[in-house]
Amino acid sequence: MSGQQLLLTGATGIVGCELVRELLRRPDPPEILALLRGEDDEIEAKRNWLCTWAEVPAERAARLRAIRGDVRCAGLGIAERDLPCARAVTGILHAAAVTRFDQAPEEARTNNLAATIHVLDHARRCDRLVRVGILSTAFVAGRRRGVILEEDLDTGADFNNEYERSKALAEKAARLAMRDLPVDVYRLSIVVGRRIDGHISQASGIYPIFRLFHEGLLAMFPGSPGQTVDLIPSDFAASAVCHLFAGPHAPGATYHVCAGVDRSLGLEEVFPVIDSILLECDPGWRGRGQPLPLFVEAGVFGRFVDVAELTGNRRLRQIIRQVRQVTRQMEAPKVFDTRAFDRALQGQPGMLLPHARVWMQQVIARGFATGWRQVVPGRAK
Amino acid sequence: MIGISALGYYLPPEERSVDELVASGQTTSDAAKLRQFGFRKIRVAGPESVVDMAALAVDDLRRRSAFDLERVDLLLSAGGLATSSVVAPEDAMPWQERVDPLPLFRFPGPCLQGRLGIPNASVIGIGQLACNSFQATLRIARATILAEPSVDHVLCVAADRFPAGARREVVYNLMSDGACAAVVSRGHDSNRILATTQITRGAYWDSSISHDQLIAAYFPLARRAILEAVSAAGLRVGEIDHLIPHNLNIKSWEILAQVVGIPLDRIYTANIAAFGHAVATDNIINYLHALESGRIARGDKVAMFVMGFGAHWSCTVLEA
Repeated sequence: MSGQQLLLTGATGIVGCELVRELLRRPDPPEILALLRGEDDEIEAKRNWLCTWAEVPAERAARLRAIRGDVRCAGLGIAERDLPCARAVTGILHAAAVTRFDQAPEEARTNNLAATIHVLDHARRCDRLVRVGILSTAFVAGRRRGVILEEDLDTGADFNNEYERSKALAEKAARLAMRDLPVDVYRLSIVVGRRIDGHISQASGIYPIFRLFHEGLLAMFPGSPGQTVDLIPSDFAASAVCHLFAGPHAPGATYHVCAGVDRSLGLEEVFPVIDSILLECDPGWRGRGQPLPLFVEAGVFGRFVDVAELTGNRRLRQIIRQVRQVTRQMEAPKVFDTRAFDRALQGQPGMLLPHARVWMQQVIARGFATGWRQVVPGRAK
Repeated sequence: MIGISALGYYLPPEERSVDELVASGQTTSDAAKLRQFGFRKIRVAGPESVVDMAALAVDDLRRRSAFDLERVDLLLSAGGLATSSVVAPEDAMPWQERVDPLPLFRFPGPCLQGRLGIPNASVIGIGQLACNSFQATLRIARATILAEPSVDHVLCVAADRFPAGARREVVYNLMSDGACAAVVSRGHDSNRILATTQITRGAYWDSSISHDQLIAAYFPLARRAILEAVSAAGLRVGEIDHLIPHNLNIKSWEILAQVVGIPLDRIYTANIAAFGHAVATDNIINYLHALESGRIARGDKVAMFVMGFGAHWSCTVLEA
């Protein structure tokens, strides 16, 4: 990627910071222009944090520049003085998103749909542009069940939350833009910490479920026998996205950047695996004799939720709602087909993701060590 | 073979409705919510002590079975509440301030033995097991008969009454006072005890601190206790004809039925509305009512489940 200039949105996000790290550590690092929100001093602090996170020498860190902007604004909120360099880029990686499941519809559309439209509008003003990569989620499939193909979109299925809906709408905008722009869509599954050390910049997504289990607050979990949980480590997500973005593949494709069924844990395996890891890393775990949560049909779980609501117990309801945000996605079992993604990775043995059993140890041990908060020194606020 | 040869119970006659309990500030939930949980009224002891109630439960046992108490070799006296393990002295002085420690040795088991006039029966008191206390007596009775050839009949008794004015709602359940009694006998071929299990999790010993964890652990460990007991009895869960519950709220049984795989209509929930959860005694009262109503027939396989603070999950499998 030497000689390329990338505009990167969402650089401080879970995947964004891993993309910075991956890009700066490549043999041929590009110049990265990170679009960041905030005042100048905040932006500088964020850039410094990203350099720390990337763990690269100063000369490589110098390839990361930051400009002020906001994807939610028309023109990406880029100041006049920064427009020439922002339009001189050869590639755009749009990783910015608000992934909270409890966003209101308008909020989610602004954060995710409008932001993508603004990125695509900006791309049309970039004369040297080679590729635009839009990061999305495999869960744009919403409440669909079964095998989800990479080309599937807008199948009429409902969504579990406004985040999914807004990302599906953003993908529709990206697909329309494929007519006149070299756009790819990278759909990620559930992102967790790095394979090597378990580090992750924010313990969101599925981490609250891990924490609730560790705290003994998870009674049951809805799901179907044989269902898998598609987890990908953040470093794998970043290296896969960079490979697809920099590779020779023709633009205009959608990829499931997912582990796939053969490298994923079955839903019923997840907590036994975590349990066995905690036995090794938490000295107090064995003595607690904590039971594994029950796997139940959605109807049973729904009944449990109703009872929790009926009790009026604020803490119980809070826990249930937290669990519910994640479990809604599990209630419609699905498998993400990865044929296009697998084809793109062919001949790249270093890119192959081992089975989750191989690397979950690092993820859980790190989560436990940080109290499931993943506090990162120097993290920009 | 070892079976239960006689059964009896005592519930105080005085009733308190849900509305009365709410009005007297003895609940944390409102009346509508408690009704949704399936409760209507509870029983509240008047002047009866735990020993009085235990003796009245034994009286009921004798009326029903004409069992001769002279044959009792061992009396197991259980109390679920801490206050049920000592006969309170008259002066009501706080225990921590006592100079004379003798009242701390006033135990209900020996007191009951004296009242029943069965000096040949040795006495063992059972405590610290909350609502599981009575199932623990069945377990120990069976084990003692198996281990000691001289023991043929064990009288198991549990009795509890809450302090006057105590809150009667505990974790969304309404609590009654009550007592029950059973004789476990060698060579008895009905109500055979096929298996018992007990799971204890000391991590939840202080219920006021680990309240939320306890609720989360309830269903997984309830399922495990029941399935382990059923398996130890050489049965599959589909072969269980009846689940005799302790009278926790009906909503919890609707969930547990599905979690365990026993249809709700095989769970005897009729007494939840009638008197709520009577600490360690409702298993036996429910079993007796189900027997007397003809719901349980001779030879039926019955799983009796209870969970109590401490925290303990117990299941006893019987062949009626």
